[in-house]
Parts: sequence; C-alpha cells; structure tokens
Amino acid sequence: MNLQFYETMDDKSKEYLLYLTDQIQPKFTQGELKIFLKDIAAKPLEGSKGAKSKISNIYVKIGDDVGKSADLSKLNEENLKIIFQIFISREKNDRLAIKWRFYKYLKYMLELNIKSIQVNRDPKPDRFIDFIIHTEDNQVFLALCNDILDLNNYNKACKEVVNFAKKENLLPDRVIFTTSKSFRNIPLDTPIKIVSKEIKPELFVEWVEENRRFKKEDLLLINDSTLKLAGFNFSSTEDLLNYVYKYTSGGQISIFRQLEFFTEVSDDDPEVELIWKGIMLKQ
Amino acid sequence: MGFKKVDLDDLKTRISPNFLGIPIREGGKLVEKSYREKKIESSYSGTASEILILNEEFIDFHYSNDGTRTSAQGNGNISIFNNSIKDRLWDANLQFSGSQFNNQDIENNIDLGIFEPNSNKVLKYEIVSSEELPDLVKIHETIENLTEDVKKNVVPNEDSNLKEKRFRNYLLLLERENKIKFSISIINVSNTVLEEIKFKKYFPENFYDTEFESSKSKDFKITRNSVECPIHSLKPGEKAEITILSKLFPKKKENIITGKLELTFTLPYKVISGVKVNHFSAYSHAMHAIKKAEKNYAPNHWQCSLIFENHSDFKMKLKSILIYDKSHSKKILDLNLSSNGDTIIHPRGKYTTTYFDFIDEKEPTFSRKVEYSVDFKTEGHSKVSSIYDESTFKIASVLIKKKLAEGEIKSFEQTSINSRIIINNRGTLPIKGLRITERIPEDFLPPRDITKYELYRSSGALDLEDIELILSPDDEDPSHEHLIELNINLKNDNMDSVIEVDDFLELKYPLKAITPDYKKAYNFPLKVYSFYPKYQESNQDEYFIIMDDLSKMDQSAIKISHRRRKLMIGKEIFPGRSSDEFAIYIVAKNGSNIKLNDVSVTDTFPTSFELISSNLDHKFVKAKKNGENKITFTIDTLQPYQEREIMYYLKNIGSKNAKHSELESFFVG
Repeated sequence: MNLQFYETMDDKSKEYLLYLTDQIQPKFTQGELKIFLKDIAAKPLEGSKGAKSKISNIYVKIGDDVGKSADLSKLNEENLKIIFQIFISREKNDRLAIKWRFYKYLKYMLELNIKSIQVNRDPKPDRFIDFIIHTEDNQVFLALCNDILDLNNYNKACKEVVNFAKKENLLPDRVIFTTSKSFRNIPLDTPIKIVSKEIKPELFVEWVEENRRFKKEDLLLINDSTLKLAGFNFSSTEDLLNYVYKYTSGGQISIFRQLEFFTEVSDDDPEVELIWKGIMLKQ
Repeated sequence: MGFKKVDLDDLKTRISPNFLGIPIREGGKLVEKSYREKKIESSYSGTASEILILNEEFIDFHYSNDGTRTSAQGNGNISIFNNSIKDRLWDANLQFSGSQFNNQDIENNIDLGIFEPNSNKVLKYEIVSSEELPDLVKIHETIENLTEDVKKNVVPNEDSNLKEKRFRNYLLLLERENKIKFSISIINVSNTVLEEIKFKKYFPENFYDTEFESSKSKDFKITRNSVECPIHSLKPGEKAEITILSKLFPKKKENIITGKLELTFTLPYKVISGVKVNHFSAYSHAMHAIKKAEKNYAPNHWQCSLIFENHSDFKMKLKSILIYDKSHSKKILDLNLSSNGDTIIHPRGKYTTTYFDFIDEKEPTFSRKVEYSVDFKTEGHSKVSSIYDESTFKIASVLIKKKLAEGEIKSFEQTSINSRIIINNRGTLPIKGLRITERIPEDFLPPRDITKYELYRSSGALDLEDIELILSPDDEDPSHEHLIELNINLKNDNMDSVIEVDDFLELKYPLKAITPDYKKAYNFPLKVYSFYPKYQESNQDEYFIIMDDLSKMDQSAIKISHRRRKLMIGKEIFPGRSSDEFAIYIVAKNGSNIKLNDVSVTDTFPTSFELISSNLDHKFVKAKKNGENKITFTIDTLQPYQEREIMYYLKNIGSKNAKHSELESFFVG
C-alpha cells in the first residue's frame, strides 16, 4: 500500500486520514486553515478589519498567527480528503493545489526571511497574483501560481503585475512564477518593465525527484529523532534538506528513514536506513 | 512540497516532465556542469560503493559520395557517478587534459563540489581540431546496373567510387526495369575492435523487390525507406560485406538518388580525442587520530601511532601522512604512501602507522596532515556516427528515328534513296561517343566514301575527323549484304560529347537500290551503341555502353513495289479521213500517287505503213527485212494521277488495203 492516490487507499477512515494529515509540515495555523478552506471552496473571506490589507480588500494577511496550530480533528471527511489529495498524495495538480503547496514551501524556502504574507482571497479563476510577500529586509515579492504555464497565461500575468504595481503604487523586487509544468517558450531572459524598473522573472517548478532516497510512506528521523517527519512532505532530497536546515539548529546531521512507517503495521524491530549524513552550517 | 528555481537554460534544454515541448539540443562548449538524466546503475553491494568516471565521446563524420571526409564534429561528456546509496562526497576535484581541447595549454582543473549519494555530474567538452581525427572505418559502395542492355567496354579494378577520388556515373535505363546491385564493404581500419555496429542504407521510394545478404549478419531490419543491418563487432582489419539487390523502373526523366549510408558504432574502452582524466580526488567519511600511550616502564615516554579509519562505503586511497611536533618545528613522521603503489583502505577498514616514540611531560600534541581521497575507476568509450552522401542515378535514354526518303521504290530499277537517321538524347547524361551499325541488305549499296555521310547536331555539322567508317565487305557487289559501322568520337575523342542532353544527331547518306525485287522484304536493322562515361569529368576511356535497336522503336524497312502496273497505257486506233489512214491514240495514265519518270512506250506497226506524224518526240526504228517498224515515245514525267496522250498517224503505203487488225498488235507500253 502506498500513498499515491486517495482512491487506492485501503483505509479511508477519518481516523486514518486525520492521522496522516496531522503529519503535514509545516503545520497549518488556525488562520491559515480557515483561509485555505475558503479558498478551495471558492468562497471569499468575510471582511474583517484586522485582516484587511492596506493594499487592497482582496488580499488578506496569512500566517501571522504563529504558534496557533490548527485543529484538524474538526474537519469533515471531505475536507480531510482534499487536504490528503493536495499535500500527501499530491494527486491534485490544479492551480489551487500548486498555490497551497507553494505556500507551504515558502515557509522553509532558503534565504527568505518572511515578514508577512498576503494571500489573494478573490475566488475569480483568472486572478494571477496569489501572494504578496514582504521580507525582513523590506523587499516585496509577488508570487503567481499556475498549474500549466503557457506563453499566453504568462503574458497576461505580466500585464496584471504591471497594472497591479501601477494601481497600488507598489514596485516589487521579485516576481516569481510557480507552476507544475511549463512550456519552454517562456521568455525568462526578458525583464518585466514596471514603470522605470526592470525585473527578471523567476520560475519555480514543482520538482519531484524520481529516485529520491525515501518514499512518501517513510518516517524520516533527523539525528536522534530530534525531528520526525513524514516522507510525503518532501518531493526531493534537496527539499528535505532545506526543511531540515530551516527547522534544526544545523551542525552534524544524519537523516534516517524508517521504511513504510505510515502504511505498514509497525514491528518491533523496524528497518532503519541512513540516507544522508553531513554538516549544515548556520550563521 | 519541493519547488525548484529553474533558469532559461534549464527551461530550454533540460529533459524533465516539468517542461512541455521539445528541448533544444545542448551545445557542447567546455565546460558546462550538468546532471545525467539516465538512471544510475548502482554498484552498491552492501559493503562497497565506487566512484565511476565515465568519459563518453560522440563523433559525427560526414563523407561526400566520393569518399572524401567533408566534416568531423565531436564532443564529450565526462560523467562522475557517486554510486553510493548513503555516502556523500565533497571537495571533489577533477583534472583532465587532452590535445584536442579548446584551451590546450591549460590543464583543466574543475572543482566539482559536493556529490549527494546516488548522484552524478556531467562535464561537457567539445573536441577541437576534429579534422585531424583518424578514419576508423572505410566504406566502399559499388553500384552496378545488372540490366543486360548495359555493358562496359573496360573492366578495370572495380573499386568503389568512395575509394577513388572520382565521381562515378550510375546509369538507369528509362522505361525499363533496372536491376541494381549495391555491394557495400565495411572495413575496420582502426587498431581497435569496433562494437555495436549498425549499418543503415536509405532508399528512395522507387525501389522494389529488394533482397539483402551479408557475410556478418542475417538480422536485417527493413522499413519503408531504409534497411538496417546490425553487426556485432569488427576486429581490426576485418571486413563486413553487404549485398543489396533491388529493382527500379524509371517511368520518366527524373533524378533518382542512390540512397545515403549511415554507420554507427562504439569504440569500447577508448576515447578518440585522447582526453585523459589525470586526477580525481574527493573526500568522504573518514577519521584519523593519533593514539598516545605512556609507557609503563618509562614515564613521560609516549608510544604513538596514527590511525586512519575509512567510515565510508568507498575504497580510500591513503596518499601521505605528515606529523610534526606541536610547534611544527620537528618532523616526526613523513610517509609517502603512494610511492610503492597505492595504499587502499577498504570500507570500514583501518590503517595504523608504526609506533613512534615521543617524550613529553604532558600528553603530547602533534600537528598532522593526512592526504587521502576516495578511490575511483575510469571508463571511456566513443560512439561514432558516419554519414555518406548519396549519388544520383543518371538516366540513359535515346530515341532513334529512321526515314528513307523513298518509302517505296520501284522494283528492278536502280534508284538512289536518302537514308536519314535521327538520334535524340532523352536522358540526363551527355553521350560521349556513338557507334551506329546498319545492315544493308543485298540489292542495295551503301556509299563507300565517308564524305557521303553527313552528320549534324544542333550546333552544326560534325567534323569528318571525328567519324570513322568501317564498311564490310568494302565492295560494290549488291549481291550480298553490307554492314555499315560508323564510330563517332570513339577513336580520337576530340569532343566532350557527341550528343548533349536534349540534343540530337542526324545522319544522312545516300543508298543505292540496285534492281530490288518487289517479292523480297528488305529490312535495314539499325543498332545504336551509346557510350556514356563511367566517371564524371574523366578522360579515361571507360564507358558504359548501352545498345538500342531500331527495330524496337521504329521499323526500318523499304517497300519495293511494282508500281508501273498502276500505269495504264491504253491504245486506240481510229480510222483516218481516208481508208488508208489511221490515227493511233495512246494514253498513259499514272494511277499511282507517286511521280513516274521516263515512261517508255513502244509500239510497232507493219512496214506497209508509213509514219506521218506524232504529237510527241519519238524514236523510230525502221524494220529490217520482214520486220516491223518500231516507234518509241518517252514521257519524261508523269505526275501522280496524270494522264498523257500520244497520237501518231500512219498511212498505208502498200498495195493492199490496210487492215485494222494489222495495227492491233505488238504494242509495248
């Protein structure tokens, strides 16, 4: 049994789904979960003064309630199923799935010190700018998520970035396009001209390493179990190492895998393999 | 939830399910780091892993159809594989050199950084001075037209045009089935065994009924327009021969190609360019320490040794150990472990130096430097692809027409008729020389004088010097047949060609009909031998000779008919004004559609009659004793269907009354 598709799972019980979704890292905060559920249900958030963005009514701050982990046990089975399909099996690859997986990735993206993130809560399908990210060094990034990025969508998105910047008087420092798949004719070498500023677009693709050293079903143990992670959280070794770098204090790191921990009945003598050993230096 | 930033090069060239569309082929300028997409075959066996440095070269040779190499391009990939499933490598460094590099004078020293377990990196380089690379195989292709009508005048060494520096003409006969034989030999001229050889011959669609045979393979793979023949290996000097028989039927004048050849093979364990990996070093998990133990019997005397433990799954090469005292002033141990061959430490293995003594009141400390690296193995091979250009078949075709000025001639009469032969070159190759032979039947005589033969082209008359006449037998006896043989531009070879493409040659000569017999059928078999040069722009007398028979195109026969029977000569006798006078009326009617010349009409009348007059000149012969008078009229010409009247008057000069019946006989006309 593996975690490839929801439909092929033997056990679809709420308890098991809850057990798995509880392993998703980084964990949802209460605020994030609320926005996420509204977003995937295509319902706009009700306006609230505290959450309202200064830039526009359609952007709300997200992730500013650090430490308030969401309680997934209150979710119904349908919601758990969607969360499973987006974050665990990753069988959903539509624009919203890419958007929320990228949001998770933002949390441990290297060299990114997030001050705040604003998420687009407009449910219109043709919206392009999904996240406005403010960093500690006062930079602004715009992130635009796609399932398949073709030239037509790209050009439309560039126009929207320019219009948005002019309308809101906000000059971004980086414009990031994220996608599951991209056509090869995206002109990444052509800067986007916003007023007098030229910004080179960046493309992030969802990278799945075919021969990675662990499986979705594995439990990943960092050093002496200081950190335990589910394999399905990471699509490549580099992805895992980024997370470990961000959420450990660094130093000598050994990563072990406990085979098929999440799908097989555990035995007394679990099979554990070393999959990575090295030093992570942190300043 | 892994995302990865990609740059424009990745987007355009990298093969990945993330990218839609065809990748642009990667160019090969040194030095570009990349990753190998191919799944790594791990050699991990539970205890040992290895570093594999694989140098693969890809060389493309291009040859023209005369066998001359026109281009050579090559590039190489040095792939470094970390086959361990758990151990990383770091500080990896590679040095390689080769006379074929862009920067020949500089040894290439590449810092490869960290290798994750089960990963690889690829360095790409381009081979310069590729024109100096040696040929590794020679391909000879001989193309023969086995059609019976194609002969050769010279049978020289049947070497391929790929070997000779001459362009060969390949002939096809128009509107005929041509059986073509391709004989291909592949010779390994290198000093290495060639493996995984794939030979491919392309065909245009015109070919059919293709058969194959090879001395080295039976496993032909046939597609609509090509045939592929795998050959397992060829040792140095070994030859593989492939024979392909196929058929063609050119329906019109068109360019049909012979089909290019393609050969790919692998040179195992060898890179052609001479690129060498000189050095590779990298670190993996290892520990070294100095064990210090104070001697029981001697206080402050320390027995020390350095231990080196290999904690990785790789073999480690221990190169040197250098130990100084703490102040770095006194050398305590200096071991060069590479001097007598490599010192290999196996996975989980350990190396311990011999003990050395040190005196110190406190626990001694040392300054040490240990040089080591993971061990590696190198492999290399070259994949070579050669393409040989195709040639184009030339179409050989002539159209022969023969006209005799007189389609019909009179029998039993000497007539001169003009023979006219027209040869059109309908092919795509000029005709270099011609041999025209015509069999002249008995009762006809061809001219013996060469000046009577006139030859014209569109550019004017041919010089007699270029024409040779052989008449056999060379006599004027019409009782037997004669053979005319005209050789044009074959003896002196002064002209570039006798008939250019789409031009013609006209031959005219008079032919004497010496009393032909209308009961006989006379045929004039004509054969034209066209000489086409075997090689383009070659002065050698090597020809393809193609014979065309007029009988296949146009019958050359002359009809001999007794046409005078269509000349009606009528005679009518009219009584004159008196009983002793008679008028003889003769009418000559040409009932044919041909002009009649010299129609002779002779009449006789008894001597008892005297000729009074006639309306036409006549010849009168008076009878001798007891004879009859003879009067002869000659009509110069009688046009087709013309009627001429002859009237002459006779008077009885005898004593008896003249009888009408006496005048009714002896008419010759």
